[in-house]
Amino acid sequence: MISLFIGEFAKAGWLAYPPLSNIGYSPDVGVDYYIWALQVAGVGTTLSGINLIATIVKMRCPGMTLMKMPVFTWTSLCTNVLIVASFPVLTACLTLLSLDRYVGTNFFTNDLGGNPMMYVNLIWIWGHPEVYILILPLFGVFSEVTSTFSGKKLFGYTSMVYATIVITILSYLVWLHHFFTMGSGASVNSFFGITTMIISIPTGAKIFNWLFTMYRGRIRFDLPMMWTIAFMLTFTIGGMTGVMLAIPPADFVLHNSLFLIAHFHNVIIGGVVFGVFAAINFWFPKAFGFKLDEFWGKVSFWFWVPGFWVAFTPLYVLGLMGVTRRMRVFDDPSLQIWFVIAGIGAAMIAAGTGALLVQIAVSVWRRKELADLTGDPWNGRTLEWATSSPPPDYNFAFTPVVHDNDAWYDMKNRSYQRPHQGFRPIHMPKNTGAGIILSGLATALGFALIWYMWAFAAVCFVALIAGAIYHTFNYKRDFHIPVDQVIATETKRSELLAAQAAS
Amino acid sequence: MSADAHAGHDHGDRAHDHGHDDGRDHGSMKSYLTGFILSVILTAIPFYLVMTGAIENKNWTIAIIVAMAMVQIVVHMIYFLHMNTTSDSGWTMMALIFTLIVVVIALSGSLWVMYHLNVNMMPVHDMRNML
Amino acid sequence: MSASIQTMNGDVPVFYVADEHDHPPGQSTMLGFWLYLMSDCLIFAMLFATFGVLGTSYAAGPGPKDLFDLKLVALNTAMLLFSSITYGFAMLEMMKGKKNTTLLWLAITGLFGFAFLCIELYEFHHMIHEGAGWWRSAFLSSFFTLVGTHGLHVTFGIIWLVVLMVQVAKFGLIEANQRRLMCLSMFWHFLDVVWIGVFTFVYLMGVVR
Repeated sequence: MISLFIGEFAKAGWLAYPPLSNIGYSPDVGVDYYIWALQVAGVGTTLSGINLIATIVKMRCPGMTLMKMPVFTWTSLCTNVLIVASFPVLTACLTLLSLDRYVGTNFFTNDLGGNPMMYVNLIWIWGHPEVYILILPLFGVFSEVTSTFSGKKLFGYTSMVYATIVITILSYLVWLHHFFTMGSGASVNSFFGITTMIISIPTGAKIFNWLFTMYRGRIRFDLPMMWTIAFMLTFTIGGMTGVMLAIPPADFVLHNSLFLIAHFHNVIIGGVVFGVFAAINFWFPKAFGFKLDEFWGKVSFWFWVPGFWVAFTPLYVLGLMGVTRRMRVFDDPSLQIWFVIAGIGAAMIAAGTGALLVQIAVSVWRRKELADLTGDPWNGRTLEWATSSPPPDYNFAFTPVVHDNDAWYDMKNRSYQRPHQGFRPIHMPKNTGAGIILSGLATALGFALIWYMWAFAAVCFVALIAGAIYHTFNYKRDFHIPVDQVIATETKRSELLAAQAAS
Repeated sequence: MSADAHAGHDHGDRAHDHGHDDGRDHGSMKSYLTGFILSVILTAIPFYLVMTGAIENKNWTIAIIVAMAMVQIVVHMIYFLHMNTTSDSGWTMMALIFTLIVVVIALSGSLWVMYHLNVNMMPVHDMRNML
Repeated sequence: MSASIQTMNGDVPVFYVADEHDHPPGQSTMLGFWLYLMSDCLIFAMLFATFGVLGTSYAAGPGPKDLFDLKLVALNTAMLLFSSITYGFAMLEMMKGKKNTTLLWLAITGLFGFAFLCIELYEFHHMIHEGAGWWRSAFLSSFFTLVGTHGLHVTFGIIWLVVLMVQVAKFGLIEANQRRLMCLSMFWHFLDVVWIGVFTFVYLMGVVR
């Protein structure tokens, strides 16, 4: 972000391929911004990935075996495994690029034995798992939403879990499909083409699982469910064009064309963006204590989804006609009409985004009316809906014990009674500012390196290390929430629930 | 080996107030020394082979030193890093296996891809001698 | 599974834990640190891959046979191996609860690590002096990066070791410090494992080829 105001921004594309991104062709600070921003964020992502895996593996509540975890937790686990196993590759790859730029090594240069294609190879070993890092959590969201709003257990839970695991592993075997045209030859290309087609199978299995979950369910068309259905329709098309691109000879025609652009927007928007919208609408009441306004949400939906199709269908057509990406001007006037249509679609998407902002503003405005007092606004199935919205600091006064995949649904079904006494002080980790301070220092370090401010960089680096060491001298990292506070919070909630039941 | 490991474990548990009941093995004098001696042997042989050129055939030499390295890595894993299938209910082992799979894929994949690239795009380059 | 829980508790299922005890901190630390090492392992794997691809691109510059002094490498390997076993002794003393001998062995480990670094720096200095720096060819770029990254890890390992020695001296072999020593132990042995790869694939195979 700073790069927009101070100096130059990166002009070497999404992934900064050398030799363009190397010092000879990009002598300004743009690529340095790119590198250090990604390095700091990448290291942070890796560490939080490690944290989340250890949390999911070690800190589940009693009764929650692996095969009783909610699907969202499963997909989060697999996502974090992918993060931990792929972001180091990015770190290494960008380090090599920065060495090329800063100290004159010859990894990705064109002379002295360097090989720019090695960069492309390395960055896609990270890059392909990365797209699954994007989509997998949303697959979990769709699973939760589908099962909640169909009022049914998720169909094929086990197959869903195994599909997720298979995707996790296969995502490491497909990276070359991003550069079939590099010239590795028939054997390499056909291997990666086949693995790419194979990876679509577990994804397809998931789509069928969601469809069968909906089948004969009592579907409630609230916003999260609407986004989920839009996702299923859109993503399937995106997946099929993906399989087309996975055929190496076809890819030679379509590579770097607008067909490719349409494909990845089709899966990223149709999958990730729609999924995030579903998730926001679904979990917003849990996080903030009030639901999002339905009317503006629907306005946003109906602008976004058709807008998406109006914007990107023409790009498929243009791509098949051979129009390449990253062009500013086209000489052929017959192409004009398609771009105009796509422009209309883009305007619709903009309107949809505007409606989303209005939706949030209106909801904050009307938060009293939209308040969720029960903690369970959607008749949910998993544990998070068992506590209040927003949850207290300690989440649950007593650690829940799980007997079923849909634990909260099971508790409701078997007449679970909220405990009213016997509260104890709750053991909690202390808050610490160390994370913020250290990441602030890391950002400053990055900025110093971008501008070659060596002394400042050295100061930041030493401060970073010293700060980390200083933090390790703090041994008192936990505290107890006093029992009075727990009782007060829980009594308040009991009264609220009783008032609800009475009215 | 398993007797050693057990001895080490009991030993570790006694010394701890809380007693880590996670199946983690802390090793014993005997296991550390076993690992050390094995490592010394497995390091000395490859250095000897290369420095004296004892074997004429280069491919055999390479094969032997790579094999020695693999064995030594396993030795380190067992005797120094105390890998076993029970610590953290197998999750450490699982993480290791997954990492090895990814490493093998990424390493061999990169070499394969780049080798083919060089063969196809730079037919006279000396990279053909690679591996 | 659910059936067994239910029958254990009779007909009424238990939905929450009534008497919860405090969980001691750091139960997931070892697993978390192991996962970190795995991610670090991937960084090294990528550097090895780069070396594998570019390691023969000498660009008409000096190759391994001209540059590597295997006696020095053997000495270096010995330093690291000794430091591994001395760290092991430190861990054994720690488990016996003997603070002073633990510190002694840690100090010896640190010295071996330091010797390793000095030898490596001497080697680098020598190569750069001969004009074979990292800028000379892709082979040398990948060599310096791979070996240098390992050296950097050893440097941080030594810094960490010193910090831990201060903490052990100050606070004793308390639970938290024991956990930290175990983490550093994994880190230190892990670096030794990486070094096996380095001396085999970089030095020995370079000279044989």
